Amino acid sequence: MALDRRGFLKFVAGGVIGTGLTPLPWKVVDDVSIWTQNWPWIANIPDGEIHSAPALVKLGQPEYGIRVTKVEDRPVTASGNPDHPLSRGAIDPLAASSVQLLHSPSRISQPLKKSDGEFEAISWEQASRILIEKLAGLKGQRGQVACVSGDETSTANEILAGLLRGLGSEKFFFHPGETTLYHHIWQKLMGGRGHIGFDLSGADLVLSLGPDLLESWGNAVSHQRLFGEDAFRLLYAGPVRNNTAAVAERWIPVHSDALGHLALALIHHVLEQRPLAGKDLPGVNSLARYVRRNSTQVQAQKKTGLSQKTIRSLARELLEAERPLVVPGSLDGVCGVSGLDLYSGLCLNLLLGRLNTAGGLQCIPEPPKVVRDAPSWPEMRSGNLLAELQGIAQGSTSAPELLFFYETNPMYSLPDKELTHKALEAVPYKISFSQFMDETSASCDLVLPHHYFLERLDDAFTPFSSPSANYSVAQPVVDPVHATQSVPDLLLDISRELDLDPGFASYEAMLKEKARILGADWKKLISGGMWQNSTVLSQNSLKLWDEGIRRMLDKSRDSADEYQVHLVPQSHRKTGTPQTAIPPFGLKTLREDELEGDTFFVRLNRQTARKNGVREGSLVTISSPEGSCQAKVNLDEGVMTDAVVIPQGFGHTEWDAFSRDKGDNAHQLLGIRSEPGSGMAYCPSPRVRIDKIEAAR
Amino acid sequence: MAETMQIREEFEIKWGMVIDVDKCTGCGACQVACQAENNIPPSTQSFNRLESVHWLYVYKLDNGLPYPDNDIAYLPRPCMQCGNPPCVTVCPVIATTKEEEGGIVSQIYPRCIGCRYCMAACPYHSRVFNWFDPQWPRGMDKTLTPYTSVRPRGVVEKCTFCHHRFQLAKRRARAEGRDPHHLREEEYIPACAEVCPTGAIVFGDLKNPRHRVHQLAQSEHAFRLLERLGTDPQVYYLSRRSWVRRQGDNHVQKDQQRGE
Repeated sequence: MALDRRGFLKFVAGGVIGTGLTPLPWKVVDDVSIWTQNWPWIANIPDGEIHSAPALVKLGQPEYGIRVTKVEDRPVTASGNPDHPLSRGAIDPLAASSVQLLHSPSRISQPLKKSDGEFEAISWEQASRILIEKLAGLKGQRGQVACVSGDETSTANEILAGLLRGLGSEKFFFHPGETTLYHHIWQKLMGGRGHIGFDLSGADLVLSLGPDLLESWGNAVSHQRLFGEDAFRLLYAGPVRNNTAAVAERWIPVHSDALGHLALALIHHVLEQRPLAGKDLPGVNSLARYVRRNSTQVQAQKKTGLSQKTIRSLARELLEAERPLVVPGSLDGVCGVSGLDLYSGLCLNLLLGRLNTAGGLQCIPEPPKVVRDAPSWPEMRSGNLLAELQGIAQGSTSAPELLFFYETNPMYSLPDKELTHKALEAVPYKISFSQFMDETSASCDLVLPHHYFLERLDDAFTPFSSPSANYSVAQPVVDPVHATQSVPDLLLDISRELDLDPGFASYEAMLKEKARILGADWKKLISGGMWQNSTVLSQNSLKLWDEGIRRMLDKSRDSADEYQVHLVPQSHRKTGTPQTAIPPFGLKTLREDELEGDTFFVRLNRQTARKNGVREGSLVTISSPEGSCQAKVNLDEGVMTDAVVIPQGFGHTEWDAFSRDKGDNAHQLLGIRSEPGSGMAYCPSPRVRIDKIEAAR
Repeated sequence: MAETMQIREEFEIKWGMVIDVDKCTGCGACQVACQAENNIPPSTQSFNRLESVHWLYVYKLDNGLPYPDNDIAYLPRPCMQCGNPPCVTVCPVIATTKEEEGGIVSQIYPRCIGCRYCMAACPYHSRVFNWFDPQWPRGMDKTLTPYTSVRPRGVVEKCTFCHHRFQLAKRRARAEGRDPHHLREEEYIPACAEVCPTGAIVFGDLKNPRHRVHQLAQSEHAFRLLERLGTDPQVYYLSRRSWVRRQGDNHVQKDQQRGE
């Protein structure tokens, strides 16, 4: 039979229907749907046993215990450690993204040496040789080797400072921050002993004079935990309704340069209502006479804009509380606090009887020193980096020949870029131990990358704001991902090569010795536990008054500002610290009114906007005497009039695509001042100018 | 007020959240933990519906008054796991269902054809679409968890109340000879609730009097988002501030609302 057209069509139709009744087409469709969703570039997830290990966050302050979940030997997520007393299960967004940072594209994978402006990879043997030769050449020459450390709590500082001392230098500096500022005022100006801690858990009323307690100041996660448990009533005084003020019982709007005056006025009212307050404190009578004679109330009213009735009522609230605690400090961890602010805030606590008592200030002993030839911890803290850099830039101090940077990124985070960069660039040879290609590492001549905190053994003694002395140690939770080394161990080896015996074979041996001196159980420490001790130091040389204090108070009444708008830097953990930049998962937490493309936003209220001729979405330049930033305007009525809030953590020029070129660096706007009377070099919140660049679309 | 119509079967367990807006500081730890737990890829863009994927989003609320009477609040928004989910009824391929004990609305990635009808239906913007294949920087894919698959482009995804943790908790209970349908409060907690530093996010069985959420959801200060749409969300919010509660729905000025 010939196959005609109709027969052919019947055959094809029959074939199609018949095939449809078989599994074949459905299996093909199923396979196609799987394989078109299974491209080789879609990541596969290896399986494995799930377990967790304790770790200690070391990403800039605060340090506290966390738990890292691992699948086989891969860390995958970080969460709180309920057994660690400093955090009790809480974790901040930066620590929560710390596992991803382990694999940041900006990790430095091996030692680097700069040649003709470019980095070339070298081996650890070559890097060590270069370092030993450099240091051997400078040994015995006074002050030729210096170090800036950003890790205030690690025993590694003793190795660094001890090495410097052995080479003939005392130029060890901590990066400026709350701890160095408090140290200067409490110990140097007021004659106090020990390290100030804050027992928020025992307080019933907490008044924050500036610090963003629940976001970025001190051990914020611990404060958040306590706040969540309704441990205390919280009042916030400051220029912006920040994350702390968002949940505080009350926001008391006060510009940052008026907070110290508010504290003085509160002191006046406390002394008025309780004339015998602080009667045994040396200098209290002089302080009382000063506040009475110098119209501190009127000054405070003028500077804060608060009525005398409001200030008096706040003082009464503090007096009626059983265990009030006043927390003075900076807005963002370094900026916006003067000696006056700290002095007056501390004095207020003293007059309220809140020293070395439950729920008050605690004078905590310094850590024991284990490196015999290293300076003491108070000596290490007494270095003033800002004053040193000012001296170098102005020619009154000679720059050291060699400078180490340990766990710090000052080329990004220091104020007065022109001055600080000029001073840092005057140092002929700079060495960074950073794990990341940050702005400082990029400017250095040699980079010797330290292990990331998850890859190393490290410790932390009494992180700033801790309520009592405490000590934590953490073991590595993962093998090093790159060819990095433990820098403390490297420095111990180098010290021995230079005939400067630190007395320990390894960093682990040092930490075990520290634990032994403290009476801490090493096994419990490395399992995620913490040693703590509530011993406080008595104050036998404390003074509330002297000529320096009087001068500081007198000069604080002067104000000569070129520009009108107060700059309010605000720091968030989700945008990291200078040591970490914006973590990969942190970037996505930023809302559309915080970052649009690569442009970040400054916040001001409508009244300020009208005064400066800008509106929502306007592109503006914020200028101070030190520098300028570009941003878009976001109108926010939670900002005081004549103030502009600028977020920290933006404007990185190195790092990776998650941070680089996003927004502008607020530190560019900050300057360094030397405070008369206290002698403290500090970074006040400047006044700025707002200029529109183009109209909003 | 329109009655809520429960068109799904009632479950014995109803997993839910109560989020105290008066305790949320807006830190973002919950958002980061959610991304890490659920293999959500990082992005070089911040909030951007085209290029970055979010399951949990923290809104900033404002009372609309000028300084100094202004007030703000932060409101984390996961998937509401609605009792009457609009997304489930519109899905043409049954890639999203509400049929498991506990009431978590599922999202079945291999079944999803990416029509995004569910995204149109969801009034909470809880769902996101993968316009692009996910990318991790080299090495960062080692941090992928085994809890959930990696989603390619073309599928919708959303918060699952860390359903894998529910599975793990049930498995553990079975291994210990206990009833997997009667878990203790602390046995199953999503990542966001676990990491919240202030404890603003509380999770548990809304029907179990032993779980804190049961009491908290009945507070006079509790409210749900867009309640009048009849979605019956399983996420409650708490605030002592009436302006915050009013922002939970679209009210006209003289409208009465719960808690006022």
